[in-house]
Amino acid sequence: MNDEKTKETGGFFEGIASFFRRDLVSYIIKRILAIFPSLLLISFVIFVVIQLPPGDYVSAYIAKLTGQGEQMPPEVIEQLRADFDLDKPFMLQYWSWIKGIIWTPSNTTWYRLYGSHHNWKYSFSEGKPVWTVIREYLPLTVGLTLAVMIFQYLVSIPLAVYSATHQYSLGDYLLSFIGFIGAAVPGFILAIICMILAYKWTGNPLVGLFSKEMLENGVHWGNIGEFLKRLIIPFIVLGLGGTCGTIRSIRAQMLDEISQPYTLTARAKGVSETKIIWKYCFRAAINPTVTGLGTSLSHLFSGSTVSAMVLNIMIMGPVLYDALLSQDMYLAGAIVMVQAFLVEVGILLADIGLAFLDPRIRFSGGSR
Amino acid sequence: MKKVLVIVLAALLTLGIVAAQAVEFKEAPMLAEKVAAGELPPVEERLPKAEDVYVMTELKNHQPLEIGKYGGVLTKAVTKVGNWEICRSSTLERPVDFDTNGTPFNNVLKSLESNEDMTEWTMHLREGMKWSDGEPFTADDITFWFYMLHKNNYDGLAYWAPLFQVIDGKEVWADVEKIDDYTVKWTFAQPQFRSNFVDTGDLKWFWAPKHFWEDKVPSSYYMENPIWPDTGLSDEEVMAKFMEIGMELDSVKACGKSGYYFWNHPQMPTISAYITMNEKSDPLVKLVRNPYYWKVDAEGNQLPYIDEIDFLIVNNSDQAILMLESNDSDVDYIVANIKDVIAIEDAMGDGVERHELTSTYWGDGQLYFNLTDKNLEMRDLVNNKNFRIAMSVAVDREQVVNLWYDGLTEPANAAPEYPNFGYNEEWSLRYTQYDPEYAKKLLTEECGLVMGNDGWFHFPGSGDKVSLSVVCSKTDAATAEKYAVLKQYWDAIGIEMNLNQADNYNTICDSNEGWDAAWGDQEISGYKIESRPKQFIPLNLAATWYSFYDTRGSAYNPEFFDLEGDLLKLYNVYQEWLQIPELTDRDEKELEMMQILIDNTWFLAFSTTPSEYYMVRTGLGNWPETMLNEDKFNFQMQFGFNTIYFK
Repeated sequence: MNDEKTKETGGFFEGIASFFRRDLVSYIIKRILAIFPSLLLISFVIFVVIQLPPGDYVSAYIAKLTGQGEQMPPEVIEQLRADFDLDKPFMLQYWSWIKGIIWTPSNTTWYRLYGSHHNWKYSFSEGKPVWTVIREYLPLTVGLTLAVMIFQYLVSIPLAVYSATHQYSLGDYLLSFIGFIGAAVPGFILAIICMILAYKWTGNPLVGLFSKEMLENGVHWGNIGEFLKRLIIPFIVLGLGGTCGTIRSIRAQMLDEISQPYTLTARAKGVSETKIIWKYCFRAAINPTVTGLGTSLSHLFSGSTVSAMVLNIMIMGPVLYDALLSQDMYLAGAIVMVQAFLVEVGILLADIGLAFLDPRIRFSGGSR
Repeated sequence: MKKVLVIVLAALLTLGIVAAQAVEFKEAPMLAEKVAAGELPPVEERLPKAEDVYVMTELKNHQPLEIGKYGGVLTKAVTKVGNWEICRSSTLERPVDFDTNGTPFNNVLKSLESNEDMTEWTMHLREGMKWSDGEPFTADDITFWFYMLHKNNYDGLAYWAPLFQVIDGKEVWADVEKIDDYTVKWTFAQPQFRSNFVDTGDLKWFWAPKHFWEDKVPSSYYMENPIWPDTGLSDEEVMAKFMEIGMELDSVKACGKSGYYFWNHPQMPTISAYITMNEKSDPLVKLVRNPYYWKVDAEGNQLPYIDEIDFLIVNNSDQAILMLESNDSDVDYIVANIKDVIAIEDAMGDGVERHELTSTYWGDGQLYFNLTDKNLEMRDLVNNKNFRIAMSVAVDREQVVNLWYDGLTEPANAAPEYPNFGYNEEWSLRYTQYDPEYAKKLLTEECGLVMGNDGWFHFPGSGDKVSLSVVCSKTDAATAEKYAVLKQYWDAIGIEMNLNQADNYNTICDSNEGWDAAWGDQEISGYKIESRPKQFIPLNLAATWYSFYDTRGSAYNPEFFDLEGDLLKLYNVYQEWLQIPELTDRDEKELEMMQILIDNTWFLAFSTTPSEYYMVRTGLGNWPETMLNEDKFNFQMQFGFNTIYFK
């Protein structure tokens, strides 16, 4: 028995070692190195795109003031523009931005005050350094995003497998129906419906993740119940679209795999049904889902901006929206850069996950 | 007689001081606890000396002030846009304030007087008045602000217009000197009328806490002055000082105001009733009671009554409505539009009260023409009054108000609205009778336009189709939707109008290029012309008239047009109006200017402006029954956070 266990443990480590085979390791290194030039390229595109709309932060700000009945003389407007360096040529603005992000030397005021070699510039609208703003919103954004993703997979995988293994049953039809509805209804509509239902049924529309008391005192044991209650709608709204998509995709893949000859062979050899489904079919069926993991991280990060705004959840999406609206270019640029980085990392992780799940996948040419 | 009444009213508002001498001052229980614990000095020591305490006996609309109860937290749900400035402006205390008739009364200032030729103004402060951290509020706070923060543009806006005069095209600043701890004297190069100085409403403050700022002004911003020496501080040292109080800046430029009115720093001491505790990006902005607030009620109770004002930031107004309606929510009031009011009242019944904030706009959906259009044919056309009348009568306003506001407003043209100064039903309804045939007749017979075979009017000279480019702000989707309703009427009479929803609306207008009319943004408003004269008078600062009527000297704009005809007449009456020292004596000239504006129909409107409404949970006292949405009266402040209370 012990020998068997040792053998299994040794096998596992051997599996890990063989998983990180040379072509995969060199692939990972290459991909990590490729992240930097692609981010640099992305940064330029971002800066161009953000500056594409006519006007700048100052003109957006003046428009806001004008809307409130205030007017500013042209000389003051120009002074403001100069204060924010918006009067400089485009390339100079870009160079100053990207140079500061890559490396801000120790002999600068920025480094002496903030102790960081990376100056992401200043958010005009928030009135503080960009990285400070991102730091404020990132934990909640990433926390909520990951939690919703985990929820999404925990719910969708068993349901998809059930649906595939019980094809054309009542349960399958029901799940398919819910899946189509979930995929078709826009998140923000669902958010409004959920809030109205919550208001009708409980008297509280559950606007926002945090009640006023939580904003004052934070989340603690006394209000954890209320907090969990407030998580229900965001989880449904942010997770439902992805959950339904995942159910449909895994179900289709599973149906393919279940009818493959290797499944029949396994069955004929007396392998248990659970093992066939979960160890062989499911492992093969999940490949496209894992591939989509990289982009779905970014999608949840900002793709649900409208839903998050409807639900009054202050995560990165609405902040980006506000930044774009007010032409707060350094803040908008930084958020999109963070997203681009997440996409790069997500794709890399998805590739590694794929290799782990399916040993047939190679990352370099030739035979081993 | 009117003048006497005004003086009596002002006296009543400001000089209830005598009463203060006889009463014993009382304070909120939360402050009494702090006094008992030795954390605060007694209330008598926190207030100004007895005869300088400001005693409030009535609200700004002259409604008697009820004696309130201490305690409670008032919560308002506000949308994110501009929330922070609104939160802070809500508690602004100005040198002189205004009642809802526009009559000024002393507020922070105890009194002021001028020399005979009005070149010197002496201001008296309230002795013993203190900042929210207990430091004395003195003349030094005024001279320091002027020379070390404002005149050198460190506060981000060297444009406190009442403090300089334009002489021969140059800005000549006033000087200020300290006479004693509680007296300052402003000296101007030329006579400065009170009405152009403290009574403009533009002078929102002229002080800042010297004790807070004296180690936060860098040498790079120092400007030679007769009072304050250079601090000798580098930019970096100043930024480090700000970091000590939790403010992360990237340059000293950000140390001042956030562009315009309000200081960036919640940490800065204040003289307002409430102290702002949060930064602008926080989802909950708390304003807590200022223990050193210098106003009391008639029974000597130190104001404010409510312990804390909370602004809960939401993304849109629908969320605010849901939160108000929810029994579970903390929200006590919101600002709503007329369509939402009915739904809220249906949902909440007796649980909510409606308080109207009446508009001061000259009508809704304002359209104004570019009188300095670079296309000469178009310029001639839009300067023809009959063209403007044709454009007005071509519109079926009855239908417009139904489509825009479900019939909840009234058809109207651009004119003062009830109950504002100058309201006149005839003015309001002039050229509002729907008559497309008359419009066509005017265009043909009075404007000389020629109807083409294509169904559109053409210019007689060039033969070009009359096609007006109407610019509006791209961000304003609702405005564009409303415009689509109007366009059908102008199409029907054969005048083509094309809406240009521009991101750079202001730039386009300022450039005088590519627009023949402007729509729905820089709207004309004010309880009187004196509230915002530049919107009504062709000044080169004015949005409506843009930069092309040079009335401040060509140094401001090399390209300009001379005023002619009624525009010149209007400008001249304005100049005469400016020469009347007392605000209250200016009404006659004001009406004369209004008459010229109405007669010329330089701008059009199509509906009365819908009011805004405060929807308040039942049970709050001292909420005024009438309020005007007027910047000069500090619109948000008319209900007075410092006086409302939970019944």
